[in-house]
Amino acid sequence: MDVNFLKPQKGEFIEGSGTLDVSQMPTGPIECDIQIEDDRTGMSIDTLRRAIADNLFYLQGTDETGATFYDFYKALAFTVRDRLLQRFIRTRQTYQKQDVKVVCYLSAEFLTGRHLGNNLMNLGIFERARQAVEEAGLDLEDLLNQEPDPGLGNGGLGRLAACFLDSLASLEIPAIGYGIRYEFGIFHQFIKDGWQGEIPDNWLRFGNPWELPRPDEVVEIKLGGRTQPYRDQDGHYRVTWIPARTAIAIPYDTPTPGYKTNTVNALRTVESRSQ
Amino acid sequence: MAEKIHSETISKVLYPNDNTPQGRELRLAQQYFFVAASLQDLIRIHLKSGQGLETIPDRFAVQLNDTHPAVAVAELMRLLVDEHHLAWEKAWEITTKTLAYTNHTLMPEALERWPVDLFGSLLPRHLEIIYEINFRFLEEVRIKFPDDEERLSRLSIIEEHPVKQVRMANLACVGSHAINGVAALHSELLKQDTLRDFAELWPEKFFNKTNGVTPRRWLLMSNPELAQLVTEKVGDGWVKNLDLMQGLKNHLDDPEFRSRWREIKLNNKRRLAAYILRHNNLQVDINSLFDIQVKRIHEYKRQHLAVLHIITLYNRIKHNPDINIVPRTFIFGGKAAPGYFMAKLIIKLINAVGEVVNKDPEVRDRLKVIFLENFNVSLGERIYPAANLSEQISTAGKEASGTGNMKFAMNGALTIGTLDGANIEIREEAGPENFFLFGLTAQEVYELKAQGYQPRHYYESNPELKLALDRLAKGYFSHGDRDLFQPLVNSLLTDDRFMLLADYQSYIDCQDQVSEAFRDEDSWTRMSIINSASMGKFSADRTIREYCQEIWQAEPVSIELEPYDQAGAGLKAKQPANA
Repeated sequence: MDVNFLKPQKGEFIEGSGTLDVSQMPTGPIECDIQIEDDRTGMSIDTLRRAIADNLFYLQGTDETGATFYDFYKALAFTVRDRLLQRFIRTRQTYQKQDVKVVCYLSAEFLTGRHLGNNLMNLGIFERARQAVEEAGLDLEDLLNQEPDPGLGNGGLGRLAACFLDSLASLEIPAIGYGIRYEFGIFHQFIKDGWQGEIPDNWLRFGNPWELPRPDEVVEIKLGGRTQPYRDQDGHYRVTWIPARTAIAIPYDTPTPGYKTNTVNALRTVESRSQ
Repeated sequence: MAEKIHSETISKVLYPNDNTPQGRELRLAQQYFFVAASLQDLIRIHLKSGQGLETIPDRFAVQLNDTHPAVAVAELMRLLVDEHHLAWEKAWEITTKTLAYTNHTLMPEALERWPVDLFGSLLPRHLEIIYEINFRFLEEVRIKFPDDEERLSRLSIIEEHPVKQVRMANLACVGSHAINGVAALHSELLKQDTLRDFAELWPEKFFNKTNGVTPRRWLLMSNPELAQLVTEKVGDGWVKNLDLMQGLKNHLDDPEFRSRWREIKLNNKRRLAAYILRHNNLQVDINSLFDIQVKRIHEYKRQHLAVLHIITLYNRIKHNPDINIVPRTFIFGGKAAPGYFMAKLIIKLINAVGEVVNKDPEVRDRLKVIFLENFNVSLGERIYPAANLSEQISTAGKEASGTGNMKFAMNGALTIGTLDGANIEIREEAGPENFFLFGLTAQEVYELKAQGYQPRHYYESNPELKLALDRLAKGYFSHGDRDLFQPLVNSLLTDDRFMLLADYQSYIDCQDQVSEAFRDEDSWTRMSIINSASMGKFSADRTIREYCQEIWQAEPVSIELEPYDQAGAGLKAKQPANA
């Protein structure tokens, strides 16, 4: 079986890249010493380049001849996300297994800034990613600049919350950041005739590769209405809340890696939907 | 007030407020929405582990970042008492052991309050719970401070006059086991003033946790050349132990190191200059002093004080075009809350002054004024590394901490600042000789207000200040329009709540010292290195360690990745099953 036909056949990504030639490999139980890195977890330049090409093809539905900088950004972002997820899932499992104490940082704002450069840096593969895309004739800066800056905060305390998440993960402290997944962040400012003007910040317009929806962990939120006292079976006085309406909170997890640690904590933000 | 909230709209948009909360029902719905989702999630995780609710405080530390999530106090009580049928006392013990509260402001108008009617119509059960919490709390206070009705009314979670309101800061204080400010001065002023009654009641609940910033984003990523140089000199351990930057001081006397330090700053300035040319179509001199103020636009942050300095320098040039002046590029950035008229007028002011100064041939490009639009995290990453001078000039006692001040200093900018927020600690770390200090102290601000502050007195007795304000008022910077900046000038001359006029001369004198210092390239570089090398304290890692030890009792847990399994991962799927 030849997997080469599945890859883009033209352009810089293919030349000298580490594309697998399965015909050269044993078909029985593997007994060679050659380590082939997994496309979704491997950290070598060859593997990164192969993963980017794969993602460009299968997730963006294009190849390097038709791809925009944004397509390349997305392909690289998904490549990085794969590597985060391996650590993210492992982190979650570890917290569940060991009776750890978890810090829940509740903040109406998390002003994270762009994720790609930071995630590359914290995974320790910034330079390798630069080389991987440079060999394809691209400038990493151009790709980093494709990412919309998530403006989910006003300034001070929102940016503080984002710095804290970075330190928590870097220090390997179990933590979850809890916040709101605003559809529109802080307005985009423009200056006209010296005055400030405001445009809504539609940062999710082209999707967000850094978040994972968790529809299985939705929560119902009550709003309005009235309360009703009652006595339970044991005669205890209790109160129940009879809401006028409810909303559904859908959680989205943004994996948040520490600097050169395997810890990847969650920033869990919620989106509201009607019932 | 009674707007109907549709469920889908709750997470639609972030309120663009800064220290001015809006009493809108949608805002309260947002706060409750994410708090309720978080606490239900927490309880779900906890119960899944097979433990009982009483061990929640051993497994979770919940930190409330300002009062926006303060409704958590009532929500956790509701979940434990109404939904899980715990006794009130037990639920209260769990709640207070789990929650902790960080305060972010000293300004009374910035403290969140919700009219009881609005609160009750959205959260009827929470209002009942808050009344019950308050009743029990005030009983406790009565025993400790008998016959002190005024104290009771100050401590009460419910404000009675002029309208009945829920005080969210009081709710957070009552429901938390720890309360902290975000810089030493701020935490001190909280105890003396804003939360004084709580500090007298529970002194053991109060902590200071001076803010920090992550050196990963704010140095390693945003200033790669400097990061590389630091690594060459002190090894790469500084990224996770910023105190190691101290080692740079061993190289202060190495001229080659200093010249590389300078060169890197110049490269960063060159990149920012290219950005300015692209976005503002203005050419700036990269050898000029890059004097930068980026942060939210707010009267207490006093961007207009920096503008008064620019006008003063401009007037000096107009008076004597051949004056020997250190060339400066003034760079501003920041957003104004859309409904905050004065802040928007300050943006207009910066641009109007820039228009005149940048084009006046007599200035001969010695002064340039730039407003960079849409300041955000990404723009900050370009700006901090390129600064020579960091403007941290809030009225003393108004800025809780500031974190931009730390980002600038880490990247080798020198600070001109008041004794406010974390500036005080930055100055302590860098040494007073490497910090440009001016202005009244928080105590002096307080005293001057108490004895009847007369801003006009400063205006009448200071010719340079008078000329600057007169030119503004007479339309010099507004094509002759005398009305445009009248609100600003009037506010400064009549009330001047943030005491710009009182600090003006001290600021101008200090800026003159900055200019003199900048002429001595070598000495400036040494100060720049010392600032950068001394910022270890302001790594968010230090802050988080303190929270972990003193408030959260949380410990590191290392994550082991399974080793790469060649057969299991890389090739398995590609091997035919029965090959």
